[in-house]
Amino acid sequence: MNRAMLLLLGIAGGFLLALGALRLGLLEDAGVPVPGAFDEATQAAAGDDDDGQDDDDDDDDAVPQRVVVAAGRRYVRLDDAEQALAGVASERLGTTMLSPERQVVGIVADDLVLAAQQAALTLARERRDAQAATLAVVRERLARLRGLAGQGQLGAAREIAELELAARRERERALQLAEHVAQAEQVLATQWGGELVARTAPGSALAAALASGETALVTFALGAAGEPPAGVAVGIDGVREQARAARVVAPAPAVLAGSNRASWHAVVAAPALRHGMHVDVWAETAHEPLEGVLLPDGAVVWHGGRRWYFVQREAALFERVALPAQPPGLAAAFLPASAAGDARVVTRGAQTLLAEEFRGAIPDEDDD
Amino acid sequence: MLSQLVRFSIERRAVVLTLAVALIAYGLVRLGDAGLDIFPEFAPKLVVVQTEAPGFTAEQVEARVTQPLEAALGGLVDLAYVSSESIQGLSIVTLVFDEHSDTYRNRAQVAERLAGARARLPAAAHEPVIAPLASSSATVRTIGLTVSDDDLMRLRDITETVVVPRLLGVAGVADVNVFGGVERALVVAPDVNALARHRLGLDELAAAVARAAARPGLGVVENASQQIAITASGDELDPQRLGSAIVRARGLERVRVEDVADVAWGGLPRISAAQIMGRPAVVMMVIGQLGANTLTVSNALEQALADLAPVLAQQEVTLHGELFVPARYITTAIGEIARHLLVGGTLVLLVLLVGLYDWRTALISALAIPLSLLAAVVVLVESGVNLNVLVIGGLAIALGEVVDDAIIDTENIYRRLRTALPGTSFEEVALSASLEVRGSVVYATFIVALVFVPLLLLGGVSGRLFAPLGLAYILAVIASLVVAVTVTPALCVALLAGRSGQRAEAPVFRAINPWYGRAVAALARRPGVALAASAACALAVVIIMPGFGARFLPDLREGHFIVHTTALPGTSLDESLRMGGNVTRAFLAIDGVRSVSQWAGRAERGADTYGSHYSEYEVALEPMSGPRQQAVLEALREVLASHAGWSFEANTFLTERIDETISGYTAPVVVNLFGRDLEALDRTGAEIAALAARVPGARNVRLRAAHTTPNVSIALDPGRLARHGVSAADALAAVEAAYAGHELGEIHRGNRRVPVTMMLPPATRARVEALAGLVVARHAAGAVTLGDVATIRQTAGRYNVLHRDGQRLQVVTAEVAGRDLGSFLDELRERVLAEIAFDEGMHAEFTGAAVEQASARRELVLHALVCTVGVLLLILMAVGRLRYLLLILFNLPFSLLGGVLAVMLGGGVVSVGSIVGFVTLFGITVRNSIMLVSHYDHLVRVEGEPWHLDTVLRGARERLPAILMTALVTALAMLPLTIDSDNPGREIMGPMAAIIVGGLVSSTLLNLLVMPALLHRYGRFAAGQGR
Repeated sequence: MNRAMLLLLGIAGGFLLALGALRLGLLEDAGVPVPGAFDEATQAAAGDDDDGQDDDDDDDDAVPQRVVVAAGRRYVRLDDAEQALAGVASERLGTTMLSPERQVVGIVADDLVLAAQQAALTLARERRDAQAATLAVVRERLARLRGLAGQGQLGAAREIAELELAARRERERALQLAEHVAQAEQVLATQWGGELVARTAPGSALAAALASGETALVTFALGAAGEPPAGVAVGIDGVREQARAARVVAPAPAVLAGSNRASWHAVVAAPALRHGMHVDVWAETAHEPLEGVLLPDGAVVWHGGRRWYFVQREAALFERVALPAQPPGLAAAFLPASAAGDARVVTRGAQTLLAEEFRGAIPDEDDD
Repeated sequence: MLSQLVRFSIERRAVVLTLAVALIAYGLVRLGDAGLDIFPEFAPKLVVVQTEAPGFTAEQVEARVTQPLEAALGGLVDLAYVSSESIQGLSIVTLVFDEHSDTYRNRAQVAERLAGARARLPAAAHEPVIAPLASSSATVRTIGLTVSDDDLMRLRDITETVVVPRLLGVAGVADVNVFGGVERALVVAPDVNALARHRLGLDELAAAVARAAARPGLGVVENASQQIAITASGDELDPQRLGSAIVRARGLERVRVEDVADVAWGGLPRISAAQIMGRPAVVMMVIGQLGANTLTVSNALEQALADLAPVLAQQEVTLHGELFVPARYITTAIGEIARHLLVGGTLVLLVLLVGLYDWRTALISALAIPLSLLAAVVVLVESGVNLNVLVIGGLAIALGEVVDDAIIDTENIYRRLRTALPGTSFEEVALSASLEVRGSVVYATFIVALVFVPLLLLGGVSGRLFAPLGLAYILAVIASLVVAVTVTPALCVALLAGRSGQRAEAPVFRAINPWYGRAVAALARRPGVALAASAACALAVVIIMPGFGARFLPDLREGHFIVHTTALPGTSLDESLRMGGNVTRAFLAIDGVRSVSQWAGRAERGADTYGSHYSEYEVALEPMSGPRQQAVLEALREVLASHAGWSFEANTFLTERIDETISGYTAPVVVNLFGRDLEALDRTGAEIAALAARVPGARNVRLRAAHTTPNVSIALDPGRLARHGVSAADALAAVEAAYAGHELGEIHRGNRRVPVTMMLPPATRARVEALAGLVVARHAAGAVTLGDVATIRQTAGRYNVLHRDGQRLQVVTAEVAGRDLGSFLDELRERVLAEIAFDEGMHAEFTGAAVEQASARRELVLHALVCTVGVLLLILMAVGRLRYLLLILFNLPFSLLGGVLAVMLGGGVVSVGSIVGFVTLFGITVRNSIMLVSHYDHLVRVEGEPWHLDTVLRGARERLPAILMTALVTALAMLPLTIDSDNPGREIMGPMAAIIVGGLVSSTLLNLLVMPALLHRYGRFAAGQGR
């Protein structure tokens, strides 16, 4: 076997050993850089250049770090040019006094029924009183006769018996009439509530107003039992601007059987309303007007189960602040004056700032 | 066999030449018919099933849509794996099949299974749809529409009824993805207060609307003679008619729809939005069919748009027909290559004329170019390989190679004819001259072909992309070999016969020869100098090359950029457009930017299934050079980096398509965590992410499926439901009707189907607080609201839920810096398994680009090693002695030095194209070295010359024309590509050509000066000692 063949066999053997080592990954384990004519082609899986990372993220490397932590607080930092490019705008929002309202549906009560029941009650009372007077007279006569009988005057016993019988009859009648009064009072109390009944007693101003037809009685359910809503307005067709101011006059028994909300009676000057109509009722949910600002939609962002807004603390620093608990009945997010202060609230671009702060949560959409 | 072939060709030269003419004609015809595309089909075999589920959260989609579909689609033939993603309102199930499976059978299987799967899906989910069969390049054209009054509903109507049907009618169009606009619907927006006033519930309103919209089939009247269809008229529904429908009639009371709701033409909830130059718009991506020819389809679309233009103009709609036209790049690239072929071919002809000094000889050599290239084209086209930029690039590279064989053959015949004895048969001279060089040429051709074989064996997307290039090159050089042994000898005899006494040496060689002889003699007397020079060059190559950067493809100058931006999930479409508008204005301020369009969200059946937080931009440029395009790209990236609140990418379309397809994992390290419980997966995933961040070298650790999207949670209280007498189903049905939109019927306007839907007004739906007041039931005593029966609170929800092979999946990705991927992965695996407690049923898989890369590299190296052994054996067989093999190998780095210097001058980055250049250079060097050794062997063994300096000089001078001409021809053929190589069409081949041109300088010096000197010192040629 000549030298050439020996050398050739040696080379072939060497290659076979190298192949085997490659298969077993021994070369790489030993830290030997594995050559390959097309090694570069396989770098496609990791990226186009040689910095060992995905070229997709090379673009992100150009993005500056914009979240800063100072004194335990996180800020997003954007310079003027970045703010202009991202369209981030902030302003000092002037505070106003707000009366949050809730809108519910009320029913125009049939005040004629109330009036009739009041009249019936009055009649029953008068009859009861009259009966009481009659009974009193009978008892007085009976007492006099008993006195005469005690003095031994003849004929008094039969009169006494008759009077006692009459007294019993009158007492029974008085009791019946008292029962009628109690029933009438109960019906009124059950249907209308005691306070309304008292305030719409015959001859009262309220009763007269209702009777005139110029005033309507509206019953609605709102919130929990307790203090009545401060301001109420009533309207039809759901147009708040056309609603009329109403006045809560008394609590009401439950209007909606399935509701857990307290019910109230209110009166409103609205001759067009007819009993049985369903009307819109706007009721203020806070007794004292609230001082603060209503934040525009673009200023509020949701994250982690809460609502937030951004405040521009310095020219280039923005801080995310949690929105406080919201009073019910407001059409937009509310910031009390104590929180708003003199702060510049971000009114446009809040979502951009949120995304910048949580840049790590932005998914790599091309990873599939 | 070869000698018989050459002899046959000479004797039957008429037949051979006729066949050659026929081949040229047929090749031209096939070339004319062949489709032209950008890249070969490189996407893996997959089928995507999308199912719309409007209003469903990601978790609901996963449980009610994705899981039933996965169950139905399992176990298909050739199925490799199934992955899925469930996002809000959409389920995407991706079935990946084996690379060698049949695409159509795969789709047929999936369609069969889907037919039975529909019954398992909720009624609110739409029909599952298989995404159309599209080409790898996907987009054939992007066009847009804007309208003067910015009425997006009208614009969408026009898009759906006029434009899309016309575009779908173009042959080769698979689908049209529409973004933006507002889909028209007849919307019934209930007034909840009016409903309450009238003591009506949403269900009663919905029932009334459904009754009003119902249009049943009416049947036929049939008698003994005829069947007469019954039709109704006067029942066309519009807002007025629908508004007058009765909801409740009781006594004299009539409550109509319009009393409790607003009825008007409105829009369905959007899943996408678009703008062009900052104006609201509709953008359409036209998707090409698999195998469709991009250029042909694009031209047909151009015609279709021209037909539509007047119709659109009438309706005051502006057509933006050229937001993105990939075919432009094909035209530019093909044009560049064609120019290169023309210029290069002309230069080749000039060199042949100067070098051979005979127009017939030059013509014979030049004819090898069209013959070889057209033969390769015929084989490729008949094999079903479409012509694309890479295939044509392979042929362009081969331009210099294919003519070399003919030059060597023709030059040798010409030289032998000059020195032939009078009376010698011309055919015999041609035969012997041809056979003299044939063996070496055959070996050299096979060596070059063998070096390209690893490219053909490359797996995955890389292989699909570059194998056609390698195949084209190999076919071309093999065709040139066949031409050299058949047509060239035949042509030589046909054109040169009878002119034996009239051949003179070319003046240029007459002038060079004395100088060359002196140079060779001087170096031959000092072989140490040659040896030292060769060693020094080898050292230089070994030192310089490892410092080169590497990339898969160079930046392609397509004249167009695709920009992606991804904001935080939960970002609305309007906010995405607002942010996009910011950068659009900034982009338009960059010099050279012609147009900018943006779409946000996703389209139905679209390949990009992202949420409203995702946007894509098409940035079209004015015609400009490659360096200017790069400057624009950098300016775009600067703008994007300056805009807060998103991650972004900016690239050319093709680079992006390849990047999207080529890497199953874009991150180097990927930990796939499989399990059953989503919360447990998130928790454990977060622990793994935290641990990974602590492993030395970790960078940019991310948890893929994170809780990041805002949700509103409605927690129904069973006790409160019972107290109010409301069922959970009724409560949720009311929410669906109010927020998701409840389709109650349909009407038809012309050929357009318009849904009738009930949905709360946008202003009400915009406020989360309004949910509590939503009436879910009504009793005689009053209304029950959602707030009465449920606790409503804001939470953080999932953006998506991932699956792999039916298992829930959480993914942690990481990058590595400052250490090798392998050791990082090992350490991470060890620590995770030791420190993380996995719940029952949970397991982790460690993979990523590191694993894929190592596997791919091993395969490549294996193939390369096998081919290297083959190449060495072939060289040994060609030169006959081991010492000559070693000499050739020792001097190879010298020849590569020029190419290495060319890479350095070009920026020091090596791409796959560059490697092709080095391989070509290797082939040329080896061939010339073999030719030299063979010639010396012939002189000594056949012609009886003694082996001394004179023989060395004689052989070198005799080989000088062939070596110099082949080098010049190849270099000049490549030269046009090296000029402005960073320009459209030359990006891949420019660096390749620069390496070839630079390398040919050193290679030629090697073969002309160094090899003769070293062969004089170390060569052992002797008479009788043949190969």
